[in-house]
Amino acid sequence: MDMSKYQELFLSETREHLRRMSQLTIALEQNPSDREGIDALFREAHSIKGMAASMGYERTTALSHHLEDFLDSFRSSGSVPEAAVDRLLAGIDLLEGLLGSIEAGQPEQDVDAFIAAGTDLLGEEPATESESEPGAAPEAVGSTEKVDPAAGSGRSFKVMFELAENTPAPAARALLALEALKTLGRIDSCRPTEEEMKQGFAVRQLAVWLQSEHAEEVIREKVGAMPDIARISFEADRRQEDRPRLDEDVRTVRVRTALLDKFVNLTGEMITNRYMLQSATRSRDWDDVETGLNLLSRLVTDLHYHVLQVRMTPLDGITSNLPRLVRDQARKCGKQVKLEITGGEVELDRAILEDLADPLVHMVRNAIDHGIEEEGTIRVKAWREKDLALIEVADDGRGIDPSSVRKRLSEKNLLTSAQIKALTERELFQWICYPGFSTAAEVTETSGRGVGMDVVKAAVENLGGMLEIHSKRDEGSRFLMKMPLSIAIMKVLLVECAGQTLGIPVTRVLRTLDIRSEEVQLSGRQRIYPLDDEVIPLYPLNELLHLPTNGAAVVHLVITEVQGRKVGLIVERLTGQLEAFVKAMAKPLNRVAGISGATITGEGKIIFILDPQLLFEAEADQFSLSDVEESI
Amino acid sequence: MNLVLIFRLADEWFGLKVDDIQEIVEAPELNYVPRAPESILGAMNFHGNVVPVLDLACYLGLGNQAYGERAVVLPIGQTVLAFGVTAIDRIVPFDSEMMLPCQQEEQKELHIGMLYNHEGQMVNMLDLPSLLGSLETI
Repeated sequence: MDMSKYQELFLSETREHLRRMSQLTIALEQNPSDREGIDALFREAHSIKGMAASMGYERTTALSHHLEDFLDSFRSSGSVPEAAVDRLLAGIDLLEGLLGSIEAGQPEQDVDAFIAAGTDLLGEEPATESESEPGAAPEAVGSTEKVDPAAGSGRSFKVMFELAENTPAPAARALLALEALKTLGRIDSCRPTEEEMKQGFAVRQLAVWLQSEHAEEVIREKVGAMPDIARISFEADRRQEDRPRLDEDVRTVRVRTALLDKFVNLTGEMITNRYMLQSATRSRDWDDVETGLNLLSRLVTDLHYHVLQVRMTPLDGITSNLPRLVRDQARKCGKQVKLEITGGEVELDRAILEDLADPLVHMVRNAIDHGIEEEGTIRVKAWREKDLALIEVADDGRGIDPSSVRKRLSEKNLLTSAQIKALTERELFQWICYPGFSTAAEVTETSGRGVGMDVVKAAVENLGGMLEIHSKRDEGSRFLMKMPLSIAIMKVLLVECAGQTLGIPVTRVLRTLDIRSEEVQLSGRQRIYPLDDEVIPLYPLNELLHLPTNGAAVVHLVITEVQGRKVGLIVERLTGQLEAFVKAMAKPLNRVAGISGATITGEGKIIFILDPQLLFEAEADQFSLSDVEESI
Repeated sequence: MNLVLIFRLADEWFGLKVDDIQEIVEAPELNYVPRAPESILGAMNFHGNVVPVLDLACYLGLGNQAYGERAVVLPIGQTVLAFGVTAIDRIVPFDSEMMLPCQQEEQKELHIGMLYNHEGQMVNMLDLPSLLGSLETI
């Protein structure tokens, strides 16, 4: 049987069980004698064990079995002691690591040390004794570090041993060689397995997959000197190379059967519709053709809606690991942090959700590290607003100090003092997302909030969203992400410049307005326009795109936001809106800065979608925003 | 059987293995690509793919305005690209014995991997990986 088909399913389901296990464990830490929680946790471990066993992943099975036993002991004692929580979490981490190895096609890590540490615990009365067992928790933590797949040391290769003919007790010899190798590096796996050898399996050859920093000569010298080993040979570990590359992985989505039924029904209706259209065309009954086309258009809209539904995934998928993260991070910083998540049921396109996972974690981590002082609450909130999904990470910590951001701006020579003075708070906070504004090496109390924020902002904007930062001294900060619900289908505003049609994602447009050309004023050659209580700089899109410009009596403005400040793009015409199926750019067009994608219209024409932020960045030399501020 | 497509760029003959080609399109409709470099003629809609058409003669510096309304579309993969060429000549069987190594540095700069002697007609065989690699910095 081809197991690879099932591996994907196994991994995604097991990860879901692990997520729930970690949530349940953290809930149990708050409420250690929650009987139902213990039972639920036990069931999760049990499910993993069953699935792993049917897939033949021995170590995953052994470890989940062990956790199941461990949990069973709390079922009888009725509560989960504090030290056990750490151990459970360490076990969950270890399982995650095993899944990672399975996914990468590597052998599962060794779990014996972890299990051995726990078997001691189990041998005694677990509920009471484990608390007083000082070595237990640190040991457990230590063992997870050891198996962290990322921490694999040195090179990875395969070592082949051949035992001399007529070797007495070959299994024992091979085991000795294996022991010797263990001192030189980490053994991923071996064939035959250690267990088989212990059972006296007749060994002629031993293959060991080893990760070691030592050179082959050292290994050869140390192990080759042992009696009865006839030959040692080395091979580079090719297992990873043989694996299909990650981006070729088949991604799967789980679909509710009700939705699938809907598709079947829709298909049926469309088939009927086709017959209707065929017969109407044959009989040249144009009224019927029109009715048929109207029906077809409704069916296509329906289909489109439901196809998108398949891609929609609730936010839960990426927030469910936050409780664990907050717990660990808060503990590391010695702070008391409460986490409240609301709106986990809000659905977004799977692609958006996947790309938001890291930024979300980052913002929450930042809030713990730099926002909250000793004690506080982080609120992750999601809600729908028209066709946007809003996701907010708020804390009630010290907030961002505007004066320290200003100070940093002048220290780094990013703006002149006059420019810095002119910045509104909203614009000012956007600067913490400026690449290199604050780096991990020089985190200060407030500017630390900027660590990695450039990455967060870029991720949000790449998905067609916007990031807003609000902060009040001593009241806390709010990071608000305004995301489109779906990335594949995007509403775009169509504009025209020098006869060319271009699209701008509606999510990036604050508003559009028409003004008379006399209303455009000049200040230091920069076009400006007073809008509400702000003076905003105007830029002809033609110039940004290197297209010829011609004056017009009416100026059409598209107000957008670039680096936190409002900017008006002058376009020649506003031609409407389009629900666009946006295609990402492949090489070499992805190298052309300022384009975020393209769409093909019903007539087969290609319209490129602009990203205003990237456009300005690409044209930074000619259209520097700091120049503008200076000139105002 | 191995085949070679021979096409003209300004005044020179070039060749590409037919296996490296998806299709030849006559006079494709070219759509405006914002901020594209000069050598990009535009983008064509190729079966729903957005395919930029590179004016190969211009890109290689062999001449401007040498595009002759013929686009050679490369297989859609990691790179999505078509070459705008001056003229399509013909497809000939490939005989590996008629390959000659390049002697001059200039040829390498123009991404010419080998010369192919087709019945006395010298054809510059494009070194596709080298050419596509150079587009990274477009």
